[in-house]
Amino acid sequence: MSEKEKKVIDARGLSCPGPITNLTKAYRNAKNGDVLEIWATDPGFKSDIKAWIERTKNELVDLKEDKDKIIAVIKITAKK
Amino acid sequence: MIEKEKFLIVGGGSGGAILANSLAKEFDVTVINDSPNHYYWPQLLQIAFRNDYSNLYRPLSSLLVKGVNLIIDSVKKIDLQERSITLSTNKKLSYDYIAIAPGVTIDHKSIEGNEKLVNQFGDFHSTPENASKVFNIVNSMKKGTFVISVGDPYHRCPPSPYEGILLADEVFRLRGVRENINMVLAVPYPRAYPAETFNEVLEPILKERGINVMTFFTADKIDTDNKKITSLEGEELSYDAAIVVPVHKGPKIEIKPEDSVNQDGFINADKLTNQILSYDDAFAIGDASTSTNAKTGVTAHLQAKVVAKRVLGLDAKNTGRTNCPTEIGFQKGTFVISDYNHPAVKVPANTINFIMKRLFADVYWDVIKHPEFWDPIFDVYFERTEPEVLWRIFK
Amino acid sequence: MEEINEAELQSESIERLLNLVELLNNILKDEELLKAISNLLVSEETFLVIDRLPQLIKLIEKLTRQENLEKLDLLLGLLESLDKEILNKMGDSLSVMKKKEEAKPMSLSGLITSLSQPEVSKGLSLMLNLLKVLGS
Ligand SMILES: Cc1cc2nc3c(=O)[nH]c(=O)nc-3n(C[C@H](O)[C@H](O)[C@H](O)COP(=O)(O)OP(=O)(O)OC[C@H]3O[C@@H](n4cnc5c(N)ncnc54)[C@H](O)[C@@H]3O)c2cc1C
Repeated sequence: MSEKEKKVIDARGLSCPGPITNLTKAYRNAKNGDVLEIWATDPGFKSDIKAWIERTKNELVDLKEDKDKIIAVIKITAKK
Repeated sequence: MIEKEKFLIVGGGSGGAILANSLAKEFDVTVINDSPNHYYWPQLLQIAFRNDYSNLYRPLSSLLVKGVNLIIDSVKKIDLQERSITLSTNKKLSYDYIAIAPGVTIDHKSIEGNEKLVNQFGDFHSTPENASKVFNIVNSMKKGTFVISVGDPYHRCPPSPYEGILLADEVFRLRGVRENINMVLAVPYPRAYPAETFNEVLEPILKERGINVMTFFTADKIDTDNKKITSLEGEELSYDAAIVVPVHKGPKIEIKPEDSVNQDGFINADKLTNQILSYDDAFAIGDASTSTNAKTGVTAHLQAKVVAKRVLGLDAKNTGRTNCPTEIGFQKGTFVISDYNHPAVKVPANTINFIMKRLFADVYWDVIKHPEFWDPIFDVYFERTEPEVLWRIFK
Repeated sequence: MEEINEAELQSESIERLLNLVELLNNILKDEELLKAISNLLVSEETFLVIDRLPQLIKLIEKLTRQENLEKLDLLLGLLESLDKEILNKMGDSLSVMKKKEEAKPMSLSGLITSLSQPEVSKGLSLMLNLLKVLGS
């Protein structure tokens, strides 16, 4: 996977309405095979992203905490 | 006499009109708006559920202070490098400063079948005509499943779908048909309201009013023949009447350089300063800008004030403050108040908050026209209701 | 020149006045707003307040006497020094006591055992302190 194909969604500092909104917005435009990287600071984001993965059956490649942000890397696999 | 610098403002909505009136003395300000009227969009909810058209629009010319020039035309092109804009009549204008505030474009087509659905049942995020269709359906439906489904999580006014379903519930109750109607709110989020803290306020209200919430459901396709909505996440939902909050896109303006807009046409601007890329003479404010964390009039207003201060040489920055009045029916309301550093406060729903909401709406026109009068009042209001302060009260 | 400025200023003021009249008119035409305001003003609670107004005024008068203000300050200091957990526990144990009461009248021995529970005794000593401050 080259860095070029990866789309970064910066949702830091978003709490009303929250980082998941940005992910959904990007999901509409995404195709299977796309990789999305989401940056968030909202502490609830970790459990939300896990729940989203479980429901949509896409792939969570990585979920980690950086110094100043939470990073989730998602591979889109379940889009119809 | 020194000539004033030319300040062009594209769009005379909430953000553009306030900015124009705030800079009328210091700059040679010209507003370009594609319609002679300025619309107050929150009124769409009042049309949809109360048939009340009172505050819908005013002639824009009556809202701009003396000295502001107004051109009624649509802007076709903006070239940030060349510092010029082109109107639909091919007339070209140049500028020293520009603020782009043309709001959103509603794109019903992005969701398959939504054009047909809107034709049948309307919606309350696009036009007054569509809002009046909603009024007809909530006032004629006798039984079955009534659905409000969010097709775009980044729609205008984050609490509006919740207000919609709760006001529909109020209408059904007042008409005495509520017990024959199953009400469903389908949202893309893990819980009823995306912000977890505010969800603690809203979810119990939805529960008490008997509204079923479907989570992780983003409307993607609508089959109007079989009355079914399919979600991006792959589930199905049947309805007898349904309203889908449509996809919002950026303005239909060709903006150069190309990297100043994102995939959906929103203008890439700094979230603290509203500056577009590295152009220190160009700003994007309000719904059209990616700097906007919640598409609300209050955000557009606050951003206009930040830009006004910045071009006058002050180091003002956006705080990300939201202040979304949320009506829950039966004359009660709450507010979604948050900023970049604080999640939404758990402001309880009550009558005082409803009164505040209504007062905000009733003073709207005067706020646009007379920023000098309202600025000090709002400064105090925003300071006293800072999320930091409110969080200590509503734990 | 000056006269023109004066005239301009006057016409501006008149325009502002008209704007404010329009604003007021907006508010007065807003039936739901007025309904909400009357709901708030005309309620059981407000009737209660109006009914007891003389007593309330007397109470305020008493509370704002210098010696009482000092006592209130002490009380506030005490309340601030409390930690939330103790208060919660106290609330819990009081509600436990209440529930037991509802089930059956509490026997003297039951009361003594519950008094010896650490949370309850902490709570009780707190109440006694409060009473002391008020009474001193
Ligand atoms: C149902 C609903 C309820 C809402 N409730 C609230 C609320 O309670 N509180 C709140 O704060 N906000 C609320 N909002 C959101 C609020 O209305 C918007 O966020 C606000 O209007 C954004 O201001 P703006 O200046 O960015 O855009 P707009 O107000 O939409 O103005 C954009 C202007 O640009 C003009 N324009 C567009 N394209 C062009 C072009 N190419 N050339 C020239 N002119 C152009 C348009 O005609 C328009 O006048 C609500 C919105 C909706 C739909």
